[in-house]
Parts: sequence; structure tokens; C-alpha cells
Amino acid sequence: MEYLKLTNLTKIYLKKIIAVNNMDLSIHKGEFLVLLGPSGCGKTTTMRLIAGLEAATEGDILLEGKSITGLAPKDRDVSMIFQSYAVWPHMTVYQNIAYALKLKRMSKKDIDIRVKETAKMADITEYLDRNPTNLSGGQRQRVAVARAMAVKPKLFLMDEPLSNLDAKLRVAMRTDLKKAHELLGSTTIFVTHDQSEAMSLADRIVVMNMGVIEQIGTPNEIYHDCETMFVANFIGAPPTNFFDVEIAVSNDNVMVKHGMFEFAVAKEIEASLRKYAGKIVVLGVRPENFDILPVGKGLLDSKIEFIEPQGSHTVVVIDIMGKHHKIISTGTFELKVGQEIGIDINQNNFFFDKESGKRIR
Amino acid sequence: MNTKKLITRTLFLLFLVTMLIAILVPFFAFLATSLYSSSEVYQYPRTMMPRFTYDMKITWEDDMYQLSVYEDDIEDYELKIYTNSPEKLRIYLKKQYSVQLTDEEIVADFSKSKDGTAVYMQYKKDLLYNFKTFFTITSNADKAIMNSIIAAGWTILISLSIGSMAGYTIARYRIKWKKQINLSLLIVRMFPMVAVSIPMLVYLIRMGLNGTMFGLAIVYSVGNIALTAWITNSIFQGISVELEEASLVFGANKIQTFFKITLPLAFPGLVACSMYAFLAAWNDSIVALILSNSNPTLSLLIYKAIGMSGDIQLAAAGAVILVTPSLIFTFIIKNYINQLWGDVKF
Repeated sequence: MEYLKLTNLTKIYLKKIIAVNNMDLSIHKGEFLVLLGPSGCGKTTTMRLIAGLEAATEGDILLEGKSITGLAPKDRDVSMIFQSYAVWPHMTVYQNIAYALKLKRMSKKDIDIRVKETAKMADITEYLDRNPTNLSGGQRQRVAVARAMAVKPKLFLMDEPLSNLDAKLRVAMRTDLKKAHELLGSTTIFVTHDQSEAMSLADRIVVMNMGVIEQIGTPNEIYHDCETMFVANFIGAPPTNFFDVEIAVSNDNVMVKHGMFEFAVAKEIEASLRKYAGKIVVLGVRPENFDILPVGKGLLDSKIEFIEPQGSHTVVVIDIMGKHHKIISTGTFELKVGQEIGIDINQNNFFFDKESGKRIR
Repeated sequence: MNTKKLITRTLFLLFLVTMLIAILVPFFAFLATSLYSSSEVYQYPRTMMPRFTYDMKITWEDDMYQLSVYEDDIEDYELKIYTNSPEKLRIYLKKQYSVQLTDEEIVADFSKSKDGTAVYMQYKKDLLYNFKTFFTITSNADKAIMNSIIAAGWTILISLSIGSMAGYTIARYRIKWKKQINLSLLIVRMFPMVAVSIPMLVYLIRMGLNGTMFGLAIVYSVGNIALTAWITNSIFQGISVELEEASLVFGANKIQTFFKITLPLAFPGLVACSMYAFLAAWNDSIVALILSNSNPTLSLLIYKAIGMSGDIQLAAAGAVILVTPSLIFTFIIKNYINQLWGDVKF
């Protein structure tokens, strides 16, 4: 059953800037959903629409089957963690956590119990009497999390909560957030532009671009089964390599022809590619789906332009017809800049329609 | 490189010292003047430091007390007055030297000289004499102080309540012509207060508010509302919108959010901002002269005292009375002044 449902949700700023365009999305109870996209893609706007901080231009938001579109933020039973933490600097940590509970007219005793309970969960018990001004970024973040947990909301909204932390802390907090999510069984919507964050946290990822959903899927689906060229380009570091190729149908074979190479496509995709006979399509190959071979042994030969060692693997920048492409070599053999190598492309690749950018299946 | 640094440093220090002198010398001058006795004011050349004591010599000749005072410039006693009336001596000592003695004390001290020997006495100057006199000769001085406080209070209240609302709106809401409105606020400040106050007099008379402190505060607020709006705009901009949004999400409505989150955070800035309103109302005398001559404020009273009486030391005493509350007020809010520019600490 759907827990939160967005139908036809649209937000237009100043009568011309379309931030969110006709968005349909349903979220299950207990799910950790990540909205992922480049800045300006409408992911934060979507979250603010759900929180009620922005009014929807069109469309409906249903929480547990009831429309919350017209409600004030305080009546929506959601809580939010902000990018700047938004911990109130003029209150102590205790007062920060108790703020929402006081407004709910809970008794002093109940508030005390709840605050202490959540503080323990967020591991900030010793800071309860302190002022947030004297806390570090990570500690403030924990206060924000505790404040959000204390109200026991129907929905957790997190707006890039980790982006202001330093890299090491970010990874630690990531684990903590995931733990808290599993502990509470809460439904969470998490906004980020950091794909590794999205991948590690999400049950499902929603990739957005220009106010439109590009793809919804599990982290694995998003990475290995891209729906559009945008997703293939946005997800993965280094991104997918694209080649404009011509489809040539000869006898039983469907061939891909590029200025430098040609090969027969896998059997599963043959039927759909037949329709594109003689036309140009886009071939997308993930950097790890190249094989590096000695010169002459592969599909094509190229020269190494740069090498970026990453420890576990090496990013090799090669030149194919004047364009730089990044491929990943996990092999241990010695590579040198300027060295001639042979490249092979394996069959784990995507074909996209050149006009629409949609995947050809 | 090093010489250049040295020169800039020297020039900077010189500039700083000049500024300090330019501020401190006039301040010191009228502070000293307020402590002078009448004789010191008319002394030439004037002494830098006010005297605290007078050495006097009393002799008895021709059935009269001969009073001489030690003068530093001639390094000797100079005969000032001879009389046999203790009352005359008392008034003379008070008026000329700010020395407060009763008739009995004078008789007790001075009569020792009647056996022909000179009596040397050292009398303490009453340092607060000018301040006391200021209140006694200007009969409504305490009422004027009250008036000034009331006028300043109303000015703070009016300009802060209206001005901060305007500042909040400009900072938070999307409105058309925002930049132009913000700039036009300062245009209000370009009109001289005098030019505004004369037509305002007509309106205040019609409303029956002329001569009242509330009416005066309305006129002071004209310029101050604009300034307050301008300053509070930057204060509110310094408060992250997310803090307010968090409050909205966590169960508060907009009014609760304003009073529980925005106002406490903006409060130090607003206090600092009230300094401007206070100073504008407290220091003004021209507008008060036009609008409320019959019911003067302290600064108007001092303005008149300087104009009318020749007793410059009394005017100086009044000026000290006028400047003290401003200094105390500024001192109290000194920690908040940085927040005038939206520097809200987190």
C-alpha cells in the first residue's frame, strides 16, 4: 500500500520557472527514499512541497490516503532535518528537542522522558544543557536528528543533511542515519546531490532532472540498468562513456559501427536495434566495462593520455577519435602515459535513442 | 617593503590619535568647564584642570575682613573683597569660588583674625555646584529630563515597531520593486528634520498633539522608521530562513515562530538599533524648539541656557547631564552593536 503519494505535483515559480513538473511518486511505509539529482533539478522543491514550506501550483499530496496539500506545515505530522541543521542558537539542546513537544501540549514529565530517550539514541545526552553555539557541526547535526526523532513523525524529510560535514564525519553520520532509520522503522525522504550517499542509504533512488523524474529504482537498478542517458551520465564516477554509432543490419547480424571499431551486439538487444537500421544511436559503456589488452588484440587501439591511480583501481584516460574517455583498469600490470594499448568493449552496455535520450531495450 | 609597512603603520596611528584627540578634547573641555567655578571661567589664561581647593588668607583691617586668594600665576595672595558682613562673604565665596559655607562657619573661621594675625584657610570647592545651580535656576529642569525620557521612549517604540516590521517584510518576502523601496527608505532621511517639522506643527496642532512628547516622538520617528527598516532588514537577513522554517515544520504557526524564534534572535540587533532612535530624540533641540517650546526637553533647555545666560559653566553642566544617559545607554548595548549589520552568531 502507498504511504505517501504525489500525484501530478507541479510547482512553478514566478509564473515561468518550472521547478517540479507533473511529478507522480508513491512511497511505501518504512522506505528510505532518496531524491537525487544535480542542483536545480527540483529535488529540494519537492521536499519543501511535501513539508508544506512551499505551496503546490498544481497536484495533490496524499499521506496515508488523506490529502495534506492545503495544510500548514505544523499540521502535516512530518519532521525535517535541514542542510544548515537549523538548530536554534538561542535555546539549549534540551529546549531545541522539547520545542515541538511543548507546542503539542505534552506534559512536562512526558517531554522530559521523550527528550532524554531521543538524546540517548542520538548520543547527545551530555550536551543537553549546552548551547548549540558551543557544539561542533557533527554534534549540531545530531541535535537536529534528535529533534526530528522526538516528535515521532509520520514522515522524515532530510534536506542534504550531511553536505556541511567534513568527509570522514559524513560517512560516519551516514551509517548512523541508516541505523536510526532501521531502528525506528520510519519512512524517510532524503535529498542529496551526492550519489555515493544516495547509493549507500537508499532503498530506492529517484533520479531527477529539470523537475522531472528520470528514473526510480534500487541503487543497483539505477547503476546497472539506466533508463535514460541522463542517468547513465549522472550516476557513476567516472561517468558512462558515450559513442555515436551507426546500426548496420547485415544478414543475421546487427552490427554497431563507429569510426574506430565495430562489433555485433548481444542477442537480447538485436530485435529492438533492428528498427534503427542505418540510423545513429548512442552507445553507453560504463568505465569498468572496457578491457585493456596488448596492442592489436582488442577492438581498437588507443594511446593512454593520463593515469589517475585510485588505489583499488586505476582510471585511465584514453583518446578515441579526439575525445577523452575514462576507463577503469583493475588489472595490476604496469601502465604508462603515452603507452599504446588495445581496448575491448564487453557486452554490458546501453543503447540510447539519440533524440529522446531514452534507453533502447 | 618594510619601510612601506612602517609608514602605513605610522600614518594609521597618527590618524587614530588625531581622531581620538578630536573626540576627547571637546569632551574634556566641557567636562572641565562644568567643574569650574565662576572665577576660573573668567580667568585668563584658563587652567586645564579645574581647581579643587582654594587657599585663602583673611586679615582684619579697618573693622573689615580682608579676603585674599592665592593665585598660581602671580604666586601670591591677591586681595579680592573687604567687608564686615559674613553674609556678603558667604555669597561671594559661593558665587565666585563655588565654596559652600554657612554664616556660622564663616564667623567661626574668620573671627580668629580679629586679634591682628592673618588666618590661612583651605576651602574645598563644591564640585557639583554648577549641576545643583543648573537645576535651581532652570526651574523646570527635572520636568525637562522626564520629557526627554518620554520623547525618547516613544521614538524608540514607534520607530522600532513600525520600522522592524518593514525591515522584516523587505528581508523575507518577495515583493515587486524591492530594491527601489529599500533605497527610497534612505531618501526620507535626506529631508532635514526642520523642514519636516514646520508642516508637522500644523498637523500636530490639528490633532491636538502640539507640545506633547508623543507628538514630538512622531516627528522624530519620521526619519528613524526609515533607518530602522534599513538596519533591521540586514538583521533579519542575517537570521537563516531555515531556522524559521524548522519552527514551522515542528509545530509552530507563523506568529509563534516570529515571537519564539525570529524575535529572540533579532533582539540584540534591535536593541542596538534602538540606540539610533534614542540618540535622535535625546540630542535634538531644533525640532523641539519648533514643536514644543513651552514644554521643553532637556536638550532644548540647555540650548536655551547657553543662548541666554552668560554662565558658560552652567551650560557645560547641562551638557554633561545631557550626554551622560547617551553614554550609559551606548555602553549597555555595546556588545550588541556588531549585530547591527546582521552578524547573528551561531
